Amino acid sequence: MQNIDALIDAYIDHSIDDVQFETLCELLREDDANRQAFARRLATHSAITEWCVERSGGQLAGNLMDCTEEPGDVSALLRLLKESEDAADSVAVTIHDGADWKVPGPCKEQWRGALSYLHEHYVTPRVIGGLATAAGLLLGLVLAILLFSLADENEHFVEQAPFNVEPDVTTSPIVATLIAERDAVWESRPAKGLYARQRLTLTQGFAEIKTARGAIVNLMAPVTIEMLDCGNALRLHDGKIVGICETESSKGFMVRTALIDVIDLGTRFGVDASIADLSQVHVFEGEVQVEPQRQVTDGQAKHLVLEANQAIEISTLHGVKLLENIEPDRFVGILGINPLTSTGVGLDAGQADPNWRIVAIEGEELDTPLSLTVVDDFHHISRVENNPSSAQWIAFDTSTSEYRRSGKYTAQSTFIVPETVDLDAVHLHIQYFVDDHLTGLRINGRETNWHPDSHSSRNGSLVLDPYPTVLSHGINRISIELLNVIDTPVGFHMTFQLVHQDPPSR
Amino acid sequence: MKSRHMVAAFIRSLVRDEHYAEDVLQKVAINAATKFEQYDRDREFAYWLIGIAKRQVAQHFREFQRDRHTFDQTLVDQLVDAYAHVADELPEREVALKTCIGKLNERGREVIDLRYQQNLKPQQIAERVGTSPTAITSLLHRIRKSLEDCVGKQLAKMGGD
Repeated sequence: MQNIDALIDAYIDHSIDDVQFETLCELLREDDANRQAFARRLATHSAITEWCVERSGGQLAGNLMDCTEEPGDVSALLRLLKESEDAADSVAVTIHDGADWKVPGPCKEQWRGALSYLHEHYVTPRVIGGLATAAGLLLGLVLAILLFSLADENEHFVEQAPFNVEPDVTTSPIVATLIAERDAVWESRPAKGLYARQRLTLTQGFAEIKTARGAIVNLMAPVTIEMLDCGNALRLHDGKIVGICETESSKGFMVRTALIDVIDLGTRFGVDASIADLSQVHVFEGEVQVEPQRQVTDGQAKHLVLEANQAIEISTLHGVKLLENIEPDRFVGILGINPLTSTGVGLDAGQADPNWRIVAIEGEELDTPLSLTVVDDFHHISRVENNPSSAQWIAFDTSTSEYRRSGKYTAQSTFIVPETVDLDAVHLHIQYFVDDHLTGLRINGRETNWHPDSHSSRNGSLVLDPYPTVLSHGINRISIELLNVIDTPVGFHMTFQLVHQDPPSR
Repeated sequence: MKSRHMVAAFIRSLVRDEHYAEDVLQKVAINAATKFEQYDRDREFAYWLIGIAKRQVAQHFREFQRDRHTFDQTLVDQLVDAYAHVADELPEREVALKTCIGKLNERGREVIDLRYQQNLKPQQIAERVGTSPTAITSLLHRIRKSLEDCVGKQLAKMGGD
């Protein structure tokens, strides 16, 4: 017979295996005394947890109940708030009309958490004038109570509640900034400043955030993250992200999933937590350290350092598994946010270019963008040869592609212009070579001087003057329309350069 | 407040990731406050509160299912009864526990710190202190047992006072 206390402890410490867990369940099902032993053991575990947090100066979020008079009288919450305006050890609570309230010290963390939570779950139209701070807050709370009482037991709140508070950004530190978006739809739209413990759910599109210490994080929907307190870390609840740490201060940026901590050592990497019980890390440049969160790595090294072009999968079922290849397409490819890179750079023939996708055919957006791969047998390569260090031809695979039909193909790449770039002094130069069978070439909606008969573009370069005015810091997009008149796969070869131009001399 | 101890323990018994457990606890607290008008005062308050906790835990698992070692609904309901049964004794147990933690030796305090304050798993603790995960698992088990024994004695002493 297994010792039930040992099984409970193994369960608490995540070291229980499947057989032991089944045994524990059986013991709990069959005897009420076992269940009470379980409850007491977990109460001890819970109490130790809270003791440790309190001892370290922290406050557990759930202690809001301690700020109420049992049984949870809301009026006590309100009274507490009102009576404590002048409490010495207090924290300001920012109300929409700009006034500040004070919340007593012992409850300040709870109130901060409560306000953040309420903000996330309510649409909060700004109260314009009129309402005094106290009346506004009281009314908001009372209406919230009424609305809650009218709602059924499911917790989805769809109506607009007149809750006129916003998260206490004055006391929750801003730990990151939303610096760019593209076609972004948020579950609850964030402000530009992102504060600790704020949860963000991007349901459509792309976005880019920058942590207080300079790490860039690319988000592709659907994804849910939560900013952590230290200003250089986030929790990835669901979905995929790409982390880019190019500055010294951003090193050490951490992504935490349910299974692992991924700590950047100066790199570009992707983390995928889209599937329950499974996390993947793909390193595109530099190194990361991976630390498993749970007992999923028995018998293997716990702190793994992954180098560029290495990928790992960690699951509760199979532990740690090194993957054969990184899959940048699943991250940066789909996300499509990269430094502006000429086509095919650094890739071998047959590899998909992570920077480019066919996103539409005949102007109709594709549900799944199509890859363009580096080709070494394209019919124009003899004229403009591939050079992996500068640019290569990318095209639909001529041997297998079904996309041979004529029509207008839209290729797209999304890239980041760093904040260090002076937009007033930069021009984007594009040198392009395209398939002879193309009768039209437009870049970002503008006609180019390419002509199928003149072939003038083959050896020339094109400077798009308006670019300095349309480029912006953060995410930019370049879109290329290729009009194909005969049934042959399309392909192109382009070199991009951000060229600094000196200001005119006076 | 006895109910909070019970609810916190109940949530942590189902949601083992401490960060997630805190989130759920937070939501339960807010729901309890805002839905208080729905509370039927003829019912045991602990049951009402733990009912909210149960729904929030279910909601959590719908959104963030990450743990394959989860109890089935029947067993969760049975555990609800068990928690309600022990709820009255939990506040005193917590007071006694604080005294007992203070009596742990240095090694015990170190391991408790690593396990709870730094939220490390036995494997990670083992690497930190230079021993095997099994030894840490065993040590944590002994520490909890000694704490519970100590709590029992403290409660007996308090009862005798």
